[in-house]
Amino acid sequence: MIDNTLNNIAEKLANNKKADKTLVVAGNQENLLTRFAVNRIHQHVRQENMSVTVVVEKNKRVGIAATSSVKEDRIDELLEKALSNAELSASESTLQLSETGEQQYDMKSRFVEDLIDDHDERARIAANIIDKGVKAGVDSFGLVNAQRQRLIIRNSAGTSIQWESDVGLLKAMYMKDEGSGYQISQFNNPGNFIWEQLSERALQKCLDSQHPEPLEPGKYTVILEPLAVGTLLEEMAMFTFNARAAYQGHSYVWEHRGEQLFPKFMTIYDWGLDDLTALRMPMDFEGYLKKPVQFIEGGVAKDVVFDSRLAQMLNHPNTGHSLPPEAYGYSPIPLNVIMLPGEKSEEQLIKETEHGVLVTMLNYVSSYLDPLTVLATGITRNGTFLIENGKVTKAVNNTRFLQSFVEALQHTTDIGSELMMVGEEMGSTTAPALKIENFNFM
Amino acid sequence: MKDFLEGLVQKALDQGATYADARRVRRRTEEIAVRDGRLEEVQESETDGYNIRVLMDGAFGFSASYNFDNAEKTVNEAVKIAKASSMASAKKLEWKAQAPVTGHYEGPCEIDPFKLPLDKKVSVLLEADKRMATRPELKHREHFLEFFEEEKEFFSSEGSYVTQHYVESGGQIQATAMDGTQIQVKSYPNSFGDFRKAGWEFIEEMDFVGHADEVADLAVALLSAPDLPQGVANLILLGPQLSLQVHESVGHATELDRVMGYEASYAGTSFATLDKLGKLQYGSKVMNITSDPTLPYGLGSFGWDDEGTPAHQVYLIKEGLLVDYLSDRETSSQIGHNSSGASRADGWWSLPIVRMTNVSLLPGDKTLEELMDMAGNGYMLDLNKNWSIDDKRLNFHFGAEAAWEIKNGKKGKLYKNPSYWGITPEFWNSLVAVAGPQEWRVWGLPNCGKGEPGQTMRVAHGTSPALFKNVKVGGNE
Repeated sequence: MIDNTLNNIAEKLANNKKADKTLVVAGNQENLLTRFAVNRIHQHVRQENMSVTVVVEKNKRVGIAATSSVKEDRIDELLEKALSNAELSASESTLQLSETGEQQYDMKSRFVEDLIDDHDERARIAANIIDKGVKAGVDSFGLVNAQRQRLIIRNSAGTSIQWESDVGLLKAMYMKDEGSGYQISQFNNPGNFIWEQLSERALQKCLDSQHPEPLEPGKYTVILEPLAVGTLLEEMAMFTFNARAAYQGHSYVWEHRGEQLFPKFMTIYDWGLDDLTALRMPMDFEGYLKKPVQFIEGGVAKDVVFDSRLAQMLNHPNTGHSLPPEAYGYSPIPLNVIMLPGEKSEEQLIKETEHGVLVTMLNYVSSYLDPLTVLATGITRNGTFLIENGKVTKAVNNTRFLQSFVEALQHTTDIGSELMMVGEEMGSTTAPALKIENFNFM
Repeated sequence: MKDFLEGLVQKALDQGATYADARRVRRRTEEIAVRDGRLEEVQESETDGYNIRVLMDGAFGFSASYNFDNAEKTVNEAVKIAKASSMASAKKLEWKAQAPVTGHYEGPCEIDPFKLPLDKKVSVLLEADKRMATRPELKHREHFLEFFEEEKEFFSSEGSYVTQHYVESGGQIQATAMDGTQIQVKSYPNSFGDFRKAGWEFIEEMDFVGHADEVADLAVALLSAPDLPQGVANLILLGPQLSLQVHESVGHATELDRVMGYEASYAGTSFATLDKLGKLQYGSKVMNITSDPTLPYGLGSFGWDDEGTPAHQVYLIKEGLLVDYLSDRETSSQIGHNSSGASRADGWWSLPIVRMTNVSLLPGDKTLEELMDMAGNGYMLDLNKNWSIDDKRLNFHFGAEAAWEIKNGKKGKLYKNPSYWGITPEFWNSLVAVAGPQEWRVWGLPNCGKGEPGQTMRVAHGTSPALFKNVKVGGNE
């Protein structure tokens, strides 16, 4: 279980008598990452990190301080810093303490734990992916990542939560001449550790994407594969599916809640304990238990995620989606976004498309052009193909798009049946393929 | 601490390492955020840890920890990792020896911000906010200050031992206007803030209070400004926007690890491939780009990089020609060059990789007025709002907060939602002129993402306004 030192520090800080209210977030993380490029492991790292953050309320003012030290004098100093920071903070700002009581969650998997401890095994998996590429005459790239996290959340209202979990990430990419193929998946058990399937797909995409031709600018029917849909969902999570966006006045879902604005077959939600999410987390960083939140249910705009501060500001129940104290400025954010699948395989979606574009991945997407509609630009990457008369006929160049992601979801005509755990940048995102009309390429 | 680092390295050598280096980094940060008239956050954080990098059997292993009592395990793990790496590395890494270095680097700082009373720092933001608050069209006002102090020590098996200490200061004020159908944001002095290796004197120099009215008025004015019309136009990029253009389309493109495919599975590669070195006319003759960590004040300034290479200036682009890359010891040796001194890690927990330092477009000899006169008709864009570029750093699309018409060589009316896009070498070859030293300054960028595990690097870019001809432009409509 969790290191006693960290537990004792959290307990001592949470029980201090100087602050009116105290929240302590203490955690450590071990991250092992085996990265390969051009057919060899070129970066292979182990990171062991730790942090203790204390948030105090004194005379209705809040202050925050953090350290990576476990030394007693530093911990005492930490509390004093947080108190002095509180002295100047906004008056009438309060710390809403959770009353979750004592909880312990051990969500580790033996499979990921073994991969964290066995450097040779991660290297062997990398070697297998490399070997597949060498045999096919292409260059191999990617990574095998496994990490464990431990978190203690204690507060002066008696909340005492210990959580341990782990998660892995696998990437396989192949490149040759003008083409490349790429796949990624998070994993937390042997059943979803699908390196052979992923590397096979990535290799096939690389081989199929040779000799690409230009794509004429214009509006196309597109089939976005799960990886591309994951990026779209992460942009929606950042610009629309959260209460900070609602407070700032640019959450489309919040502004239109209750309205049927998306196709009836579309449901998108966040749930930290869903079996479909890779990194399961029952509570947020304030110690509130997470609640499932429907963003779009049966095509109806429903709700967004909240933390305690935004819940108070917008007079809405807290859904348990706070980020760590050092990221309060971006909180809350959904970290376990899931889109429900449809019934058709990707092959079926392609077969039913007369003229369109199959997109593996969206690269360097930025949506600040218009946060209200999540107007995004980015470029396709690692496998973009033309679909003609129900068949993939040729590779096309990576092509820039300028497209509102809100409208893209509204123009969705079908959803694929296969779900992939495609999260990388922001928590765990689980996505199917989407067929979308009128997607705008520049 | 030298003994501790030396001990780590010796333990690695005892286990058969052919090279090892160790770093210790202590960091302190203070962040102050004001939102809508309220001091919403004051955060202080500190972190302290170390790492060791070990070369064995032609492959590296890296291990980092916060736990100074567990040094033996940290070294042993690095050794085991290096051995495992060599299993999947048919090609062994060749490591060229480098002359040992010793010394200390101290960054410039006149007024230590960590020693100032908090209320003095907070009052700057609150006063700027108060100036803005009179405008009902402003939906939100957000401002921040950030102070950063770092102490670094580096020891290598080649006998290098260097220490570095510096303070960095920065911040931003920002106004957001809304009218129910649109959002317009205006920031000062840059859209991610501006930062320098400096103390409180830099915050005073930026004069947030003195600029608050102008920023607020512009945010409100953008609501009723027309969308920038689509077309092809002459374009003047002011310093802040140009700094991001340099960052994305030159800085990243000339990172040698990207060129060699090390970043292919994440950030991408580069169109500036090895066969183009010394041959590619990257831009016009007035384009001169250097990496120069010896500049005073830049976030990319240092005495030595994170593998002990002394800071020095390197031309990346000279009179438009691609002449070198940003590199570290590993990548540079593979092309027969010396390291450009660009090996950097974002903390004790991170492996040093090739990063930007202060990558700058050197000044020309014009004034801004002369550039407008040369443009005749066109647009002038200021701070970045949106940024996207492809994985080879060729196909880019940038949005700015505001644009002004240039009509008959004079600054004209305001436009909202301006964007421009192009292909990197075509764009840089359309560079006509660059403003002179009097308008050149270094812009700090604290959030450059790269690498796996992800690293966030603090870099800088010197720029002055520059004129580009016949660029594709447009708005949101």
